[in-house]
Amino acid sequence: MRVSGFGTGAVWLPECTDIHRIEDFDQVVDYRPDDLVVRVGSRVRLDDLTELLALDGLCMPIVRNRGWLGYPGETVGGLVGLGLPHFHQESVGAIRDWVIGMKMRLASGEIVTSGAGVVKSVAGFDLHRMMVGSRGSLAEILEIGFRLSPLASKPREHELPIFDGPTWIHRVPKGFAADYGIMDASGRWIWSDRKLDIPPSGWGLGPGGVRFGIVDPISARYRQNLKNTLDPNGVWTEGWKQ
Amino acid sequence: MLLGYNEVVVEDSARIEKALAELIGADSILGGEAVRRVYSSDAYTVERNAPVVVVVPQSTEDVALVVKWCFENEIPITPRGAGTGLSGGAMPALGGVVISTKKLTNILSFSIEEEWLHAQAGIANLKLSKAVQPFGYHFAPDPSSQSVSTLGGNIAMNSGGPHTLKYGVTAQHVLGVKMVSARGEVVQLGGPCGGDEDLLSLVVGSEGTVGIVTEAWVKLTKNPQEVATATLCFRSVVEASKCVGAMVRSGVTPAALEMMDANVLSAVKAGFELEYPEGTAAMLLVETDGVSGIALRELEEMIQIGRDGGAIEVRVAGDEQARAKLWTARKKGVGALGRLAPTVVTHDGVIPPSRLPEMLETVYRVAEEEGIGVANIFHAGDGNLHPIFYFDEREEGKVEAVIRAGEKIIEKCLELGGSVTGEHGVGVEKADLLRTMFDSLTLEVHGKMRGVFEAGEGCNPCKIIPDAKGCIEHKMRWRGAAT
Repeated sequence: MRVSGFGTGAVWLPECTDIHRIEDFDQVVDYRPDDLVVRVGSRVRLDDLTELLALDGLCMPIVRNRGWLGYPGETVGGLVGLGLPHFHQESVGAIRDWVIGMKMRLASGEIVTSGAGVVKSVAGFDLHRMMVGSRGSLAEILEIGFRLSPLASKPREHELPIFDGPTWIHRVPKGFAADYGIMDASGRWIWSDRKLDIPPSGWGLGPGGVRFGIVDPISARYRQNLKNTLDPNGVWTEGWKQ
Repeated sequence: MLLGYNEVVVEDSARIEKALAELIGADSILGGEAVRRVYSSDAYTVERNAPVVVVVPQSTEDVALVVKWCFENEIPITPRGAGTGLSGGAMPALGGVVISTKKLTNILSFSIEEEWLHAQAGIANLKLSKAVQPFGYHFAPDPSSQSVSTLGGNIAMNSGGPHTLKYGVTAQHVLGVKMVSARGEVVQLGGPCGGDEDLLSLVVGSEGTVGIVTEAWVKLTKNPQEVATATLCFRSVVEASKCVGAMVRSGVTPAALEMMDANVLSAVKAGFELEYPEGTAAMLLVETDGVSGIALRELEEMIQIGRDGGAIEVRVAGDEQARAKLWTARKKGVGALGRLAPTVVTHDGVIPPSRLPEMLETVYRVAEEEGIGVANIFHAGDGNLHPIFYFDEREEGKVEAVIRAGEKIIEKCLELGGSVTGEHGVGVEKADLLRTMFDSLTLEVHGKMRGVFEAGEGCNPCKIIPDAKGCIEHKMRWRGAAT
């Protein structure tokens, strides 16, 4: 079964016809602009959250001015669940660097939390960071806490290089001369409509839930252990294909 | 598989020492009563328990040999860096073998162009920055202990520091690790280009409970073109606290926003011949950085907020020497408190910065109720408190009073919507308090993360989620050992 908000990121997920749509969880749960934190339901639309924060001169610099992939209706849960690298990854950090807490529902129906409602916490394991990019394969993300930043610090807007067809994202060593694709300003990320031949230390993500590049066989085993721990009966979609 | 780990007693030492010496050489084994005493705690000295043997491996392969042998023989292991931890994370709770990274101190390679550095886990944090300083780079996480605390220790505890307000904690700067699993396998997660971020998110901050990190690839951060620093003195803690809230909300993200109260200033005044205006109850240290021209302008904005909020004196650093002097109270403050009492215990909790005035009132009241001294020196900008209790542990009931006071303060942090720990970790100190932050199901799931890495209870037992059967029965004895 695949967890879905509005389904706009489906191209990045394994094929699945059994869709579980997240209902409810479409409200701002706790917003404290004085403390630069917000906690929202995963079904909150990115555009709505961006507008709310802008009223107080705040933003999440990982989010573009309009949505994420550029489709109407994109949700916070989709942003975090997909956890895709973005065009300002090297200057403002990855999506997981802005997630400070999470409420999630296991396949058993039990609800588990992680993180805190403050910008800094090392209490327990960082399940909320781990869940970023889990693409619905481990648990349903119900609520997400984010730290916020002054709007003035938001990077200049870039169009996210998403192609009409499948998009592949590559992390490469700086200096790698790609013969095809669009490279970010840091020279470390390349978006392309095809899988490129990258150096051994590089890695990347592809459509349909593919992860390629260096993979220690033990880490693959740990990732399977993680799946077995949080979703022992395999209710949710499979994890990354390596 | 959960093994039935029990405490390993000192009578086992000869057998264990002999076996481990055969694996990695006698010069990598430390034994004897003095060693056991030294390694019985980290900088959280309230709870102690002696290891049976201490090993100082010289390579990842040596660590793997030791861990594998311990796993097969059901001997608990406790990883240790420099021992500067403040929550008992390196305390060998069930005895057994302490695995120190003190000989794993090499920088293996770095790339300025690609902005990463690869080093062994036992290297001191500050040495990373010193190595790349000539190229205009540094390693951003800067815990106060950075001159001695190790890269591996920082990763285990997900350490912070003053400049994490702007640059983030350790987790945001780790690209990859080489780790010895609890079974003695060597695994690499990520690397110079990153990768495996999901698993790394669990390893960083796992306090050595899922394996021992022996090497890491970390991000290098470009030094800012300009740094501007000021201190602002206030007649009351409340005034200073309110200014923190205003600064956080100003639209500027300071590189650091630190606060020290009168007790800290009085200690550093005596120790370092520093002068502060008469009647100073609290001081803020504000630092901004960035491209030329911007940092100074932002600092001026912060100073104006301070003046509007009642600052009675403002000092601005004109050069690097003056900047270092302004940082003296913050950098040396904890050590200077040793002048006030023979024992100091540093606590750690987090609140929303807007609640600082209320929280600090609680801290002073609790200390008074428990009859112990308290000084506050902390990362105000992200609400990360460090109440430091100073007392004489030889006085009857003082250790218990300190533990009680710490628990009351953490309860207040949670009441205000905060966290039981911002950067010191759970260790043994806060394993019980974690139950006040998370429900039992959540803790059960957190506890299962050990299993993801196939780590049983023998890998740094009794830390974070203390499930080993020996943990509860030995807890009172750890505390008793401090008196």
